[in-house]
Amino acid sequence: MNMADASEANTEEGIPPIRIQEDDASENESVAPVVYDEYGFVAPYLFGKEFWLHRYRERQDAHALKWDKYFVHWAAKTGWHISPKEVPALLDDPETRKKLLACFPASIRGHKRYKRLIRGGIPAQYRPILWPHLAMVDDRLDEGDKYYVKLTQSELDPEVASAIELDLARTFSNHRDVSPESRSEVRRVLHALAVRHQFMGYCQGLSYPTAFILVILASEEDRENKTFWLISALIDRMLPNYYSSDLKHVRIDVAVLGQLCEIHLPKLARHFKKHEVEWSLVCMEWFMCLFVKSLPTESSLRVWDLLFSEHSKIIFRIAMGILKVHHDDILGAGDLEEICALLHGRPRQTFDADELINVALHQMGRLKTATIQRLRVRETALYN
Amino acid sequence: MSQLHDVSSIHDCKIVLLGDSGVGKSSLVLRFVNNTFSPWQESTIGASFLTKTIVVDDMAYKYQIWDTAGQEKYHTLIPMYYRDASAAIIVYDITKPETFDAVKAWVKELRTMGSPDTVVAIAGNKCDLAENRAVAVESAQAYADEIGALFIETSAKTAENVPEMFRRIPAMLPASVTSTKADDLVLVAAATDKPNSESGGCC
Ligand SMILES: Nc1nc2c(ncn2[C@@H]2O[C@H](COP(=O)(O)OP(=O)(O)OP(=O)(O)O)[C@@H](O)[C@H]2O)c(=O)[nH]1
Ligand SMILES: [Mg+2]
Repeated sequence: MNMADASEANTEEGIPPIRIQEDDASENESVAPVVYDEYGFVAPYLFGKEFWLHRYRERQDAHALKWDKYFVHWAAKTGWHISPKEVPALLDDPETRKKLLACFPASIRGHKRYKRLIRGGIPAQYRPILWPHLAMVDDRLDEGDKYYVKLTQSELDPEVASAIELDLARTFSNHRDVSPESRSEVRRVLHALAVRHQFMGYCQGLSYPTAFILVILASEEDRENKTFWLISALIDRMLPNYYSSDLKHVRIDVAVLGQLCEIHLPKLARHFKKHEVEWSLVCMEWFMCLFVKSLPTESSLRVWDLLFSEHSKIIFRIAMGILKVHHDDILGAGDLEEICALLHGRPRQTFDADELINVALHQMGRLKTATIQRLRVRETALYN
Repeated sequence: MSQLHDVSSIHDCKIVLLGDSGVGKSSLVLRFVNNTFSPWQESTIGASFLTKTIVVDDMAYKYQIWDTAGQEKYHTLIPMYYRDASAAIIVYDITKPETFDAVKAWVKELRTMGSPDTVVAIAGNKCDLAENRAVAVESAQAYADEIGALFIETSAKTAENVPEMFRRIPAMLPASVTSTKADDLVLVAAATDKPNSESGGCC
C-alpha cells in the first residue's frame, strides 16, 4: 500500500489523528487485543501501524494550519484581523463561530482553494461545524431542536418501527461505546427521518450512516438534531433518491458505475463480466451505507468531507478509487468466490485515506457530471 | 483434491436463501460454512456469496450460496439470484408468525417467476427459542408437504439441524442437476485444487 511519502498531494495535505486503544488482553494471552480507532470503531487494520499513524497525524496538523489561515484570509477581507492561532477558539464559541463563518462569501462552495482544502481533509475538530455549513443546514440548527423532537414523538407505522428495531442491535454492535442509550439515539434519529421522509420510511442500510455521524458528533450536545439534518440534507438534496421504496435510483447508479468502470477500469470490468460478478454485488452496500460500513473510519470521514462538498458524483469516484487501489489483487482472483471475498475484505483495509482520495480524484481520468447524467438517463430508460 | 474425491463426482449446486429480514438467513449460512454464530450478525445489504464443498453419499457438491437481503425494499434485486438456482431455502423465524406468511409468498413467487427445477426447502429457524414459538411444527410441516418441499426446524445459534438441512438438499435435486457438464468440471477441479477452498462436511 502506498505510504505517506508517495504523492505530492499527500505531503501537502493532512489527515486527523488516529489513536490506538487496546483492550486489556491479560486474561487470555491467545486472544488478539481488540484495536479501536480514536472514534471507538474496531480497527484491526491499525495494528502495528504506529509509525504510519504518526506521519499521518503530522500531515494532518500541517493541513489544519492551512485551514486556520484560510479563515484568517476571509476574516481580513471583512476588516476583521485575527491570527491563525485564534481560529480554533473562535470556532469553538458559538457566537464567534457564526461571525467567522459569515466571513465566507456566498460563493465559497465554488472556490477552488476551498475545494482543495476539503479534498485534503476537514480537520476533525472542524467537521461538526463545517459539515452542517456545507450541507446548508445552519439555519435549521439555529432554530433549535423543537421540530426534531416533535418528529421523534410522532406516530410511526409499526412496520417501519419494527424494521428500525431489527437493525439497531445489528449496527456497529462492536463499537467501543455502544450502549442502550446510544442505540436509543440511533432509534430516535431514524424515527424522525422516517416520519419526515414518508416515501422512504426506513430503508435498511440507513442505520449505518446515522450511527456513524452520531459517533463522529459524540461530543456535540445537539448531535441528534444535527445528525437528523445532515442525513436529511443528503436524502433531500445531495443524493438521488437512494432510499425509496423499490431502490430504483440506487440500482440505476449501480448500473452507471458499471458503465463508468468500462470506461475507466476496462480490465476490471471485463474480469467481472467473465466471472459473472453483478455490479450490485460490488457496490450496493457501498452506496446504501455511503461507504461507512465498508471503509475504515478515517477513510469514510475523508469521503464524507467530499460527499458534503461535491455530492453524489463523488460516490462514483470513490467506488472506482477503491477498485483501483485493489485492482491487481482483484484481477488476480480466479473465481467469483475469491472476487467476492476481496470485494468484502479489501475495502475494510483501505485505511490510507490519502491514497484512496488521491487515486479517486487524480488517477481516474476526467469524470464529468454531464457524463454521469447522460448515463443515468440511459440507465433509467433501460430500467424495468 | 484427488485424495478427497474423484473430480468427476463434484457437482455445482446454486442455492439461494430467501425470507424476511432478521429471520437468520446470514446466520444459517455462516453457521454452515464457517461454523460460527454472532448474536449481532450485520444486516445484509444487497446480497452476499459464499461457497462450501460437501460430500453426500459419496458425491461431492460445491454449494454456491447466495444470501439475500430480507427487507421488502430489496425485493426487486432478488429475482436475479433465484432465477437459475438449484435450490431455494426459504427461512422463517418460529417466533414470528408473519415471517411464515412471507414463506408462502416466496413459494408463490418462485412458482410463477422462478425455474420449475428449483427445489424448495423451508427452514423454521431459531428453534432454540421454542418457548416463544408462534408457528406450530404441524402447520409448517403440513404446508411443506402440500407443496412438496423439505421442512426442517433449525437453529443457527445452537447449530441444531443446520448441517442436516444442507445435506438433505442433494437428495431432492432432479437428475438433470446432478449430471454435470464437462466444462463445469474444469472449473470445479481448479477451485478445489487450492488448499483453503476445500471444506469439511465429509464423513
Ligand atoms: N436465538 C437465535 N437467534 C438467531 C438465530 N439465527 C439468527 N439469530 C439472530 O437473529 C438476528 C438476525 O439474523 P440474520 O442472520 O442477520 O438475519 P437475516 O435473515 O440474514 O436478515 P437480513 O440480512 O436483514 O435479511 C441476529 O441477531 C442473529 O444473531 C437462531 O437460530 N437463534
Ligand atoms: Mg442477512
